[in-house]
Amino acid sequence: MSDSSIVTLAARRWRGLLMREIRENRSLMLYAPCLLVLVAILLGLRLFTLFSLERQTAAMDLLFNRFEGINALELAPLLTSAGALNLVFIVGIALSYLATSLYSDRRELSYFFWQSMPISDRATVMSKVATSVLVIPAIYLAILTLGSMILFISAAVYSFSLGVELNGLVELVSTMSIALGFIGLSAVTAMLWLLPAVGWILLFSAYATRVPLLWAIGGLVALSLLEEVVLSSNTIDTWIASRSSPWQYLVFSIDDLGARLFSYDMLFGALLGGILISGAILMRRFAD
Amino acid sequence: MEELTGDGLTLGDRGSPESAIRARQLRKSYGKFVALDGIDLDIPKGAICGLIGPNGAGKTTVLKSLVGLCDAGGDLAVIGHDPRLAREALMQDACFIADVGVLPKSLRVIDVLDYVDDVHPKFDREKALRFLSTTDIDLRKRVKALSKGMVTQLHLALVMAIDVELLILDEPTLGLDIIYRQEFYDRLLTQFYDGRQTIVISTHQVEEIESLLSHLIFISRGKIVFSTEMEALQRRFVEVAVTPENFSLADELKPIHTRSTLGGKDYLFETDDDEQATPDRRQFERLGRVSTPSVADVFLAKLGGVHE
Repeated sequence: MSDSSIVTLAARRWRGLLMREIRENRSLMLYAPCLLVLVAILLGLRLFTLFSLERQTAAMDLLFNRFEGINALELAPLLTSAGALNLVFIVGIALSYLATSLYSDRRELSYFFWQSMPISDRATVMSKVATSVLVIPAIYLAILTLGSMILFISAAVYSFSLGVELNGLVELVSTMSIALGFIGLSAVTAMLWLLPAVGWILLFSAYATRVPLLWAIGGLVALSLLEEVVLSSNTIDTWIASRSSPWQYLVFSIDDLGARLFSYDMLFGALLGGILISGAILMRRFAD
Repeated sequence: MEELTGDGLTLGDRGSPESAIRARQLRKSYGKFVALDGIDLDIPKGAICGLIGPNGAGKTTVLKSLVGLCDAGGDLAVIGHDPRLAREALMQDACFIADVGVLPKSLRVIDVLDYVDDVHPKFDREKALRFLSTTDIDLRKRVKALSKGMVTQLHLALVMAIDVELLILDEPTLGLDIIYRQEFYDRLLTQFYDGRQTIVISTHQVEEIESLLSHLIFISRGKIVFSTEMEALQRRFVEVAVTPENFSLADELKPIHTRSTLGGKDYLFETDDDEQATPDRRQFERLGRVSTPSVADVFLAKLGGVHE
């Protein structure tokens, strides 16, 4: 078999594995982000309608003319920071997905169908890791972009009807595009940063006989308690706290991304995550 | 054909390269429950082998072990692979149907086809579509919207479109009506099996697969209690419909099982050796009408007391 055939087969296999995850988790991966973005838009519109017409006109003027001539790269971090809440949603969706992924696999009869295919446990588990780190942020970002476009076009049309000039339109579109890109990169960085959590949850999802998320949280609390009692220290608590703020995941430039990806903390987390993910692969093999 | 007694019953030539499945001292426990108690198996390539046993006998555990879904101890080689170490490679040449309800319910039929097409290098999508075009299955429907019979047809379409050496079926027609059951086995024989593949089937509805089988294994309480080629079974067992005046004579011949019928009894005899089957048969003919027992009759004779 030629090298290109091997690559094609591998690419098709990964497409199959990732599409399986999307098809089986439509509610969490597609409908939940759509609902979140829709609620955010409706909430924004409701707040907007609370203002008088003069204030609405002033706000639109600020939005569409304030950015005229401004360097989009300088302004994008501000919008990126404003979108930090999206990272919480993305991480929440990803961790919920991970908690049930391998667990549901084993609990449903379709397990036998999936296992009757020539797919190793390693490929299955890695497809779930890739889904949480890449696919979920990508889908969320696509939906967020679509929602932002709809909101933006509606706002432009409304502003035009109010007689507001749209002089800073190009700069605003550029700033928004860059900010959305940074939010996407931040989401992937966040999931890589959280690889130890990904591995820990998969470990329980691969073996727990029920409520894997509770087992994962309980296991962590037990470890922390054990450390406190035996070693009189709280390294685990401190380490978890140091990795749980969404602000620290935010990426504001490509240099920033490089610095975060190749930091000692990130590499240590990736190593620990890798060990835990290997444990999940082993657990899945023996959880018959 | 080699037949032993006790725990070490085997089929086919021991250790032959022509074995599709070779197991030695296969063991599996769930806590204190021993599901497999040192099973030996040799199933030759091209065989259609029925694995028959009561509930809880260990049939599913055996089949799961064969495809690496159960971490059983002992030596095991399935079409040249150890399923515990190389399940991925094995499943390129083997298919497993657990029962009719295992296809993912939330997926559409076309999604299932897409998935198998993407991940299985030996899947022929066009072949599967051709098969499905002979059914009433709508490709856009979700699996959960299909009847049990249709789900089975879909599963069969997938299996028949994969060029495999080994097909393992665990109660494949459970819960289906007789028409779908019959169609399943008809299509399996006419459109899938061409003599190269090995098929292992476990089922309770033994009478439906009896005519398909080339080999037979009875399993009970994690042990193989009997195994034979079907041709040998027909030579080795004799059923005689005995009238009351011949009961005492028949009893002297030590039947392995008797069953009361209207106006008499059916006696089941096991001859000692294949070569002696012909004189025995003449002896039995004096007692009443002689016939070849069904697999179900032999099963009851061998395992009838298992629930006691």
